[in-house]
Amino acid sequence: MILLSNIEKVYRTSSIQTLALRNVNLAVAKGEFLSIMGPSGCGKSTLLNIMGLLDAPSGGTIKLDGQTVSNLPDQKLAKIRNEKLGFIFQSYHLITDLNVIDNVELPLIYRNVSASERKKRAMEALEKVGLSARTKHYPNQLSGGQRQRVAIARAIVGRPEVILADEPTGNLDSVMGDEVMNILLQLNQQDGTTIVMVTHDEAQALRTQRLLRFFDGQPVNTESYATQLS
Amino acid sequence: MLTQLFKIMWRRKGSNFLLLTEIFFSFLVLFATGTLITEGLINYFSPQGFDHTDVYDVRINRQGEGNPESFPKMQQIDQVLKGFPEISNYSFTDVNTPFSFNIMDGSIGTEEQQVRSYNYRVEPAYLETLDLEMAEGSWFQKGDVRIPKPVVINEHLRDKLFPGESALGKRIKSDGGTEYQVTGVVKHFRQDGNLTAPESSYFVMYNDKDTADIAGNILLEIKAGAHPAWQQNLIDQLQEIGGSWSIDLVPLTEARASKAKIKVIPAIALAVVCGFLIFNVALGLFGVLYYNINKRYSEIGIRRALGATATAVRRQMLGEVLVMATLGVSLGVLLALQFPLLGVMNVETYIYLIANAAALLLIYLLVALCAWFPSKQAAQIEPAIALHYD
Repeated sequence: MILLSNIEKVYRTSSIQTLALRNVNLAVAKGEFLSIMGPSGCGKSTLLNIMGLLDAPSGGTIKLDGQTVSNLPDQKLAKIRNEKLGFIFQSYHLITDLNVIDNVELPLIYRNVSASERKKRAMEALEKVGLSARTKHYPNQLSGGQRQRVAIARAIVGRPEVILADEPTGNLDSVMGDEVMNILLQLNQQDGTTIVMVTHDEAQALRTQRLLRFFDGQPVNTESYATQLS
Repeated sequence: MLTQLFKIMWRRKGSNFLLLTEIFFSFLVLFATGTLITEGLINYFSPQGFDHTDVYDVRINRQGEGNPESFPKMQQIDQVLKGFPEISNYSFTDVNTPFSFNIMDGSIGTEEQQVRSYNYRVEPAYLETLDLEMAEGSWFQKGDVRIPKPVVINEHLRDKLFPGESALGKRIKSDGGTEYQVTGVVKHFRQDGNLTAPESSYFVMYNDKDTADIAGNILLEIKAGAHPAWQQNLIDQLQEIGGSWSIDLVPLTEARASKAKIKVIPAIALAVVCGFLIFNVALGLFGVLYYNINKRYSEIGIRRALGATATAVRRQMLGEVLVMATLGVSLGVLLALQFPLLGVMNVETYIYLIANAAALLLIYLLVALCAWFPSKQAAQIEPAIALHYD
């Protein structure tokens, strides 16, 4: 599904250069739920951004469904992000001036889906996350957990094959965090959506199929779900 | 997409109000200056109603000498001019010659309507001397002593007094109580030619038999290719007749250049002010747009992550700004439309309309240019970086 080969990411300023990712090789299978853990600044969010085609690697190749996507032009990258990938962020990243249903519809707008179809699919996505009664609310009228559920609805409205979640429970209390995690697990198990999640929460990470530990720009180990349980 | 765009703009009405106000006032400034510039340009490129090339103005200052003493001298001067081979036409006139700094004005009109007009006392040869063009009727004939006195008006005055009809044969009265009958209408005539706006004018005949009525100036049309020595020769002869009189010979081209300087200096000042205003408008717009768009980097990051291309982001930003511009100028246009109704700047309605269209075009151009750079910059930012803005 996702294949990263020799990925490097270097941030350069006039005086220093920082190696954020060094020679990362990673394969994510279709339908897998992978979590990535590591200390702050170890490069896990950078890795997620590169997987999500939000940032370009300094070296290496990214393959998505067998297609090399690391060097595609902006228009094609935007199309892949729109059709194949869904994003969930720690700070939700909802557009504050749009209400819940308009926020959820956003990915479909860039796919030129008709307004009625957009509405229908946005409602379905909101029902899935249990927020169909809040369609006219604005983000600032919702709790953190509700905002994250809106973000999940937005991520799934386009029925992407992959969801990339960057600390989706990071801003939530444990109850809300569990709720969000349950939704993600449900998406993975029932719909077969591939999920890659960056987290600091070991407990949530242990609920996923595979845990990748990251340190200093490199994965240090990978554990199977079975190994983790034992 | 469009619905969402309007929703966002409505939700941001507070911050958009600043931009809307900026565009509204910018439009009004451009409209007002545009009106002045348009009027000036239209005047400049409109026919001036006479041909001043090879025409000279003889300016006579009699140094306070009384009419009875001056009259025979003027008759001698008339004889001298008749015998001057370089002169093809000449006319005695009052001091308000073309491009001079003298004006004579008063009201003239019908019982129903009086119009403030410039008036000129001239001889029949004035027509040929300045190549005036008749629109209807005829010019004066020498020795015409009809009562009421004949008067020739220009088209501007005709259109004011007798809109849509012929003026020939119509009787009009000056504010001095003299009654005239219109015998002809000349085209376009304006004393300062294309340096001024169209103005109402009328011509009455100078009575060369009246010893109490002496002309102050003479306009001479000189034959093409005349030897320049004629000027000194003429002045010498006239000076000999005039004695203590002061006599100047001024080509109308020179008189026009002096007048143009006086007209051009304020026009240049206005152009500088306009340029400065437009620069300020552009700077203000750019500042507001740059700030507004920069504040939205996080939103741009979200949109890019969700599938918007850089082009789509740029289009959205530009689209929003152009919609704001449309709202701002709509208010401006509504106000600008009151100008002709209230006669605010005292120009013709079509000039307001041209200025309105020009201001509209310039505002859209300025707004598009000022929004283009921040929009482009916003669209080019990597989505991952844009998402870090809050």
